[in-house]
Amino acid sequence: MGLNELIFGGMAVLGIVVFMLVGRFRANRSQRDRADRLKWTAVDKGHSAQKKP
Amino acid sequence: MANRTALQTFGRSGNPMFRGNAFQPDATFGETDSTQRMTLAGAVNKTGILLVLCLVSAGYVWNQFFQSGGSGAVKGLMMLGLLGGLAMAMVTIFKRQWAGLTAPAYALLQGLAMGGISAMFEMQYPGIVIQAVGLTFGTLAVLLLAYKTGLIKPTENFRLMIVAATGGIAVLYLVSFVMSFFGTSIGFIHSNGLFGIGFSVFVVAIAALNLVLDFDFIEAGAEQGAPKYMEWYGAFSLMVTLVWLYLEILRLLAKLRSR
Repeated sequence: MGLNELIFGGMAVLGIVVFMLVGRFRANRSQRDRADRLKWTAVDKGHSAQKKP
Repeated sequence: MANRTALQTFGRSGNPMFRGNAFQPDATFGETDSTQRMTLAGAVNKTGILLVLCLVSAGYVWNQFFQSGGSGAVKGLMMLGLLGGLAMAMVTIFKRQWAGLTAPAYALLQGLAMGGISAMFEMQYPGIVIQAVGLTFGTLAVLLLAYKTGLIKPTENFRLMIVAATGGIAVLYLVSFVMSFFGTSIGFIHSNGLFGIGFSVFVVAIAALNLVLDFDFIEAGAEQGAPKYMEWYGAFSLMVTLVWLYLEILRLLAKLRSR
């Protein structure tokens, strides 16, 4: 195994491990509790789900 | 143009997977049994499953390619992967409830295409594929950490910028694809000059920032108790972005190596 495989292969494995471990945890409070957060469901709750007759 | 107007004009997201009404069909999901709700762990596990499926089919095509010594033997599989993957992606986008079936099918089919494309690049530039894989997952991990810690905070302006840039790139690629039928193309897209490399770096950056939107989409879905199948849908959207990012990194590295 060459240095290329060792470095980039290691980076790939580490990246996947970090994703599988860190991905399970909720984001930091500063990420979640802010006024300018993206509203993925704003349209649904505000208009579609409640205001439709 | 005011943000609100711009969002209404261009849509809340150019990426059809991130439509503003992503969780809309299940407006009553507040009443759903908690075991039937989307979780972060579920979405992460399903992304892992999709990655394994993609890797398995890519590995098969990769082996076929190098055993037969050329792309001739795997052209059919690659075309099946490209067209089938596109069809599965469309079905998943428009029928999210089917994502549990269509997302794994998408990953398998996309793996066929990725395996063939990767093998072709590897034959021309030995060692390039492991570099692209390493950089792709490295980027995934770094951006995930940046998102989770709040270092990168996606806002409406951020989404608007990413969506506009992604749409622009898509149009440029489409025009280039159509032009290729007439024996011409947009030169700088494929050139290995400074402008061509700069363009590739820009596209890699935009593809990478799309990951942040994926993370936020999954986080919001889990927080709001979206239905279980949205775990598959979130994993699928992440997979689409990862495939795009990988291909763009591969192209960028190939341009750098060809100089």
